[in-house]
Amino acid sequence: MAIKKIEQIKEGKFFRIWDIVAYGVIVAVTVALFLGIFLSRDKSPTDGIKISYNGVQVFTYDYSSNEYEIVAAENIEIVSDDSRTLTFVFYTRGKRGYNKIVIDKIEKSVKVVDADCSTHKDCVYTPALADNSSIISCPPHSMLIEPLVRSTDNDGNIIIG
Amino acid sequence: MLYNIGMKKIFAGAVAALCSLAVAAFGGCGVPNSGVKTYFYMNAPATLNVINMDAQVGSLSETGAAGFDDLADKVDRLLYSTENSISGTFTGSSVYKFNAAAAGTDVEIDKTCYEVLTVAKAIYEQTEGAYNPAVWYCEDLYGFAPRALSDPAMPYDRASTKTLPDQKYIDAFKTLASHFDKVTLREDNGKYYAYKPQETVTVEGDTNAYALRLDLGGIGKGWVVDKISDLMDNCGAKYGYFDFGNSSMALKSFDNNESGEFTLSARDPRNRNAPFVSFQIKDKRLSTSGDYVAYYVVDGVRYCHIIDPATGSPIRTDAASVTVVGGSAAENDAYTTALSAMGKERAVQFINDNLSDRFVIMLFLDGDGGKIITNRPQDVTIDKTEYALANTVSNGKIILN
Repeated sequence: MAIKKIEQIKEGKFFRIWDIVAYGVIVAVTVALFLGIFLSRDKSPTDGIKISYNGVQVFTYDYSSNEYEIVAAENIEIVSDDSRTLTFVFYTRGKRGYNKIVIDKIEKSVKVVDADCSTHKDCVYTPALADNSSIISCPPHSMLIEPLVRSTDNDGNIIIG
Repeated sequence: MLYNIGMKKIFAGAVAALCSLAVAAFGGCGVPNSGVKTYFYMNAPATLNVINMDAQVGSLSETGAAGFDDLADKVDRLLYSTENSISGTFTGSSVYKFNAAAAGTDVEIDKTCYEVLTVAKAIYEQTEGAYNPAVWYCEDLYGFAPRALSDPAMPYDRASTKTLPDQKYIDAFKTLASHFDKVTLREDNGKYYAYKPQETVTVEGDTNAYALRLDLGGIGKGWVVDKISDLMDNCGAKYGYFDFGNSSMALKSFDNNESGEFTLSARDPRNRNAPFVSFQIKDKRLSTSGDYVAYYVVDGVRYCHIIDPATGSPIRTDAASVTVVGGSAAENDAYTTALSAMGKERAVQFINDNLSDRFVIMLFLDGDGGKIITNRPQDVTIDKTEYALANTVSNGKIILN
């Protein structure tokens, strides 16, 4: 590189005004995107939860009726059920892996409290699912916990003809 | 110094990475598994209403649709491709090509049209011609067939619907439709063909030789409802429904009651603001039709869009509403037309012989009021007190009172 060019660079500042403007625009767009998406998420309390394994529903729980349905008995084993919590274990096929799950009936939330899925155990460290905006997933076990949403725009009556 | 340039690049990269992470981590999680989407195809509105799909999203998705939006897009593509195959007014459609082709030729059609015609031919044979998709000219004669903008005026066109068509045209077009049994289908090296019968009809004083034309509107909605119902099953959409024009539906389960059943109410053909009958169902496909969809009145007689192939004219059987539940919506779509055309006694005989595994509700309106005929009276609530049940059921067979 020419000596003259190096001298020019040496004289230059780390940030020029247009650098700062460009970074400012990037940050502003990011904040706007974040706020737009984050604030529009459905933070309403969930009506229940459902658990799927490999895309197939295996368990549902309804907070209002305090009723659960085990769709696939080989995947779900109830540990305890009292007035405050419902504790059960989700098993993968052949019981090769597990996730221990606790439903808090009062707080209307669900959390994975233990698992043997990986050393990271992301599902265990995921915050409790307490509204309609989030999920708890365990990719190693192909297990997904989602909010159960009830119809609000449809009373089950349909007109034909 | 050179150090500055390198640092700037690193700094810019770090900012971009952090911004991307922020949006991905906090904003982009969660694909909707519930939703309502409306469409408009085949001159009718359609609604997809799904809640709590079981198909998983993102990294957990193995098969099926990745959430409601993906399902809704697939439904859209199915509706679009079906309309572009069987519409009689889309110049590129298979049905348009068939209708425009010369008599006695093999017409290449697409797979959708081939499948719809296969069902149509089966129901035509089973109903002994009471369902006949080749009544296009009869429909057009009475002003009910959709025409493409490019279609010319026809010699039989009338100035208004205050008068009726010439009988010579009715007779000729009825004869033309009777040649539907000569429409043959074949598949050859992945291509599909429909043979257009060589028979034509002429009418005194008219120089045209009329060749057979098809209208698959009486079965097409049901056919696509079947496909969408299968798609919903494959995508884990267990709760919700797909409704096509209030006339063909795929119902899954209702998520907000113990039975999971929807309550369906059939509109009164003579008072469209109120139902005449209600029933509960889930996980079924259905089709319904009646003399209320399109009609006009001449000299006190109602002329509706349902053509009786035996007369070449609108039905005069007093059938005002027919609903068939269960099995295939495409078949039900054709059955509703056929039952409307058969008349009360023949329709009852046909139901007893062929449709005992389905739930059929018919309303006949004659001078004595409304008569409801069904093979499952225990499952029906009659909402209009002026209408009465006109049959009993013994060993699963309808017995008229």
